[in-house]
Parts: sequence; structure tokens; C-alpha cells
Amino acid sequence: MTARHDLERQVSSWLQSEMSTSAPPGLLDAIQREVEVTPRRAAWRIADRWLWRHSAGLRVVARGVVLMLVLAALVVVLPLIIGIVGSPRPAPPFGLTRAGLIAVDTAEGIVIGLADGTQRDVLVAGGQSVSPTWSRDGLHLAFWHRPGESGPWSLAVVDPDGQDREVLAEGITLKVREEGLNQPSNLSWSPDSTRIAFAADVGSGTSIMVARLGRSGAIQITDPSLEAIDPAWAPNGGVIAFQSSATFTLHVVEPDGSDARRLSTLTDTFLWPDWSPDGSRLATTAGVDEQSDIFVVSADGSTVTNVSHDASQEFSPTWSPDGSRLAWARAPVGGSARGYVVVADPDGPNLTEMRVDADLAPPVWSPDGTRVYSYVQAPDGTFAELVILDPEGVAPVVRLPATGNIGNGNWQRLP
Amino acid sequence: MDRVLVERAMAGDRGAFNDLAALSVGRLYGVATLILRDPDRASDATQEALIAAWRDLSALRDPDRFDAWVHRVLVRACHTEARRDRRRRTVEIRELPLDDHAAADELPSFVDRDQLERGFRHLGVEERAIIVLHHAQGFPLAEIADVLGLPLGTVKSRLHRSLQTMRAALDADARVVTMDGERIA
Repeated sequence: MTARHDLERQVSSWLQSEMSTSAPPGLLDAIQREVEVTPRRAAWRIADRWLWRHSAGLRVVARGVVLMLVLAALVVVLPLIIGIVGSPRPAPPFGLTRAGLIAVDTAEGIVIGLADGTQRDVLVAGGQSVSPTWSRDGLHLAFWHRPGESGPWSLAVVDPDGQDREVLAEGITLKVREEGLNQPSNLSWSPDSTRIAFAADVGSGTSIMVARLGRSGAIQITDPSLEAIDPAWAPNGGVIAFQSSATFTLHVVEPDGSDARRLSTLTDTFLWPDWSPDGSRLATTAGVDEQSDIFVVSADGSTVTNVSHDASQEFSPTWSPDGSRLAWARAPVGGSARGYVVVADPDGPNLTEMRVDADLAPPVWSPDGTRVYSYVQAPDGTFAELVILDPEGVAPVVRLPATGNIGNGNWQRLP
Repeated sequence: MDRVLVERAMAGDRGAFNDLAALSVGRLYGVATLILRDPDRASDATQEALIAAWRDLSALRDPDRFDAWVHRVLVRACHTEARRDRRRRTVEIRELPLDDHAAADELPSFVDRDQLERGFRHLGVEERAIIVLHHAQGFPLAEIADVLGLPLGTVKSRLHRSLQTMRAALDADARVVTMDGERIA
């Protein structure tokens, strides 16, 4: 049997197994009620009366003429469109690319593995290691490490094979983002994968710091009174966005510490912002009437759009690698502690809420855009597992066993 | 389909048309579900198609061709429905625990269905309609050409191209990326 016939057989079998033979309850009644009040149209008014059958050739000719007219119009208009509204595709290291290894922190250390559960390995063991974060080029993994359960942290970088470990900064006191989560503010790589922004306690407050690969030490770039946390390096490399945990507002600063300013009028923002891959927008979380919603802020801060509008608690939006969708976590109000993952079109009403039997935390996109993963924490906070979800809600969930306090983590981009 | 019922419906008998609707609604809904991959949209498309069929039944010249004609109206309704903005939907996702041996045994079939679904979603409504009418409904290609108002050669080439698109999507999905960049089939 040829490959083509094999595929046809598979398709037939699959479609027939998926074929529903009965309409949903009420559909026929609704149709019949509508028919009762729908008048017939006169035959001469119906295009099919004139075109139905023997008209395929005419339609093809008509389509050809229309196509030629459209092409001619495009030749004239396309340069104008490109010049006026065209925007370049996200350049590497942004946009869709191949998915590599997931890195998460667990009680065993930094664990890496593929989304199907294979190639699982403990990359960094011993002491306490948290917040593994792949560089944009996928060649390095940064993380916080300390030898015991307390004391200052070191910012370290390691290759995907666990070799060439380098300590960039030592003696760092981290600000825990939320009490009880034991989750420090996130790390953010520069687009060229040479620098890392992070938040550290500098005594008089928390500041954004920048460390560079191949060098020891870090420079402080924000005023400690802002209590800056959760840096997000813009895709063009020009600014770093961050949250002020003193004023609960969104700010930006250039990587050398210059031109620090509040980004928008949005108030009560919290948790980390995320840049769209083309750098034109930021997604963030902000409080609304004792709940929280997801907002999209333009890069210059001039426009703010609520994209969730839901009575639930919603938090931690992340852009898909191609910038077409947002995923975030949703916790229903007043119900159980169950959390869901929402995938939505930020510019339209398309929204899918994915419910699995788990408390889902902020989702992370695969670099190829075909999956998001989230993590699950048991009520006692001592056991966790990863869940791999299909953002279209089609494929079954895959749960990967894990132990420990899984916090930050992300997905390696491969060239 | 009962020719007498069709003739009575064509003459304006609503009761006869309602009987025709009752006979065909399940099958049309099944086709729409396969094309649109969304039960809510399929329901809307089926309702729209059968109401349009009643409204425009005067366009039908040959009562024996009612079944093909109503499928044509349905495919058109699917086109319209697919162009509409998607509404909010909630998905209760099937779970596949890796440590469950029974579930693990089902892994290939889940994976196959997932891959077929993904490949199918790469296609436009018309390409999906051709595949569904041919492979799920058993329509001969000549009848599909009639249903869609396309030349037979176009239907054949679109079916061939659609299967090629699905195969390309399946092949892309089947590639597993290893850490060092190698691909294994």
C-alpha cells in the first residue's frame, strides 16, 4: 500500500470515528421554529437559480478576472501598504522556533527534559537552585544557587550539557515575590543573550541589576525606593520594563540605568510584565475592583487595553512566540482553589479556557507555539507536577511527575 | 431522500420541509462538525443551512438533487461560520498520565488523532469539505464537484493538494527534536 493510500485510509477511519450522527437536543426544534417564520424567496432572486450546475466554467473565468484585478491592485498598493503599516517579522531570537528542553527547579535541583517526559536529567544538583531561565539563543541556562537553605544567592550560568558553569554575581539577597511561594523575582536575558537583568535587595530597597556573561559583578540601574522587581528586557534591547512593588506601577529604564520613567497610567500592577515578540506591546496584570485582569500596554505607554474582562482572578500573561496569542492563569472567584489556563487572541474575542483537574499556575509557551506548560501544586504545597497543554485544547494533557517546589522555569529555544 | 417530500416542500409545504429537516439534520450536523471542528459552530452552521435551504428552495430544479444541494448550502454556511469571530469556549481536556500503563497503551492512537487533527486544521473550509464529503460521506468526486460548483479537475487537484498538506503537517509533527539539534523520525 502506498503512503498516500495509507494516509487516505487513516483519514477516512479518523473522520468516520469522529462523525456525529445525531444533532444536539433542541437544534431541530429551533430550525423548525425558524422555518415557520421564514418566508420563501422568489426563484428569480436566487443566484443559484442562474448559476447552479453547468456554471463551473463561468465561475472559474469570473474568479480569474477578479484575481487578475486584485493582483493588479496589489502591485500598485502593496509598496504603499508596506511603507505605511508594514512591520518587520520578529527577528531571531524572537518568533517561532524549535522547542528544546524544559528547565524547572525541583527539590532535586534544576531538572531538564523534553515535553514528552524523555531526556530527563538533573542538570544542577546540591544546595538550592531556583529560577532556571534559558538565554534567548538557547545556549545558556541561568539560575540562582546557594549551598544551603539560607544565606545569600549566586547568579550562575551553565551550558545545556551541565558544563562550563560560571558565577556572574555573588552575595545577592533576593526579594521573595510573594510570601509563601518562595519564588524570587524572575531573571530576564537581553535579546543578544549576553546580559541578565534581575532584582536584588540592595539594603535600602530592591533594585534592578544587570550582569554580563564573562564578567563578575553586576551594576545597579534603578532607584531602590522604587522597590523594582520582575525585569523584562525589551526585544529591541533598548529598555528593561519592571514593576515597582512600592507604587504598584509599570516602569521602564535603559540598560545603563538612564531614562527611568513610569510607562503608563495603569495602576495596581503586579507580577511580571511580558513583551510581545515584536516589542510593540507589553502584557501585564493589574487589579480591578478587588479582582485582577490582564492588560496590554503599548510600548510607549499611550494605550492600555483590558483583554480579559472577567470576574476571576487573572494573572501572569505570556505572549506566544509569534505574538498572536496570550496565555495566562485564571483562578475563579469564591470557588475551589482550581486554576485554569486561558489562551486568547489579544486583539479579538477568541478565548479558550483550558480546565484540567489541577491547580494551574502561570503558563509557559513552547518556542514552536504548539504547547504551553503549567505547573501544579498540591494544597499542602509540597508536591508538584508539570502539565503540558495544547493551546488549541485539542491534544490530551500530559502530566509529568515532578517533586519539590516548582517555581520559575522556561523552555529552551533551538535555532 | 423522499422525492415526494422534496416536491411538497418545493411547493411551499412547511410540514414537508420540517420532515426533510428531521431526516437530514443529524447527518448535516455531523458533516459541519467535521468541517468546523467545533460543535457550537457546527450547530449554528447546520441551523443556518437548513433555514437557507427552506428560504431558497425555489432554486432547486431537480428534486432528486436535494441531498447534494443541501450539502452545498451547508458548506456555504460553514464558510460563513468560519469567518465569524470565534466566541468564548471552554475546553475540558482529556488527560493522558504517563505513569498509567493502560493510558500509555493508548498513546499511539491519541498521538495519531492529534496529528491528524493538526494536519486537518491546516486546511481551509473548502479543502476540509472536499475531504469530509469524499472520505466520511462517500460522495464521488464528480458529485462533490457538483455540490461545490467546481470543475471536476479542480476538485481532484484540491483533494490531492489537501492530502499533501496534511502529510506535510504530519511529517513536521512527527519530527522530534533532540537536545543537540538532531531530528529523529
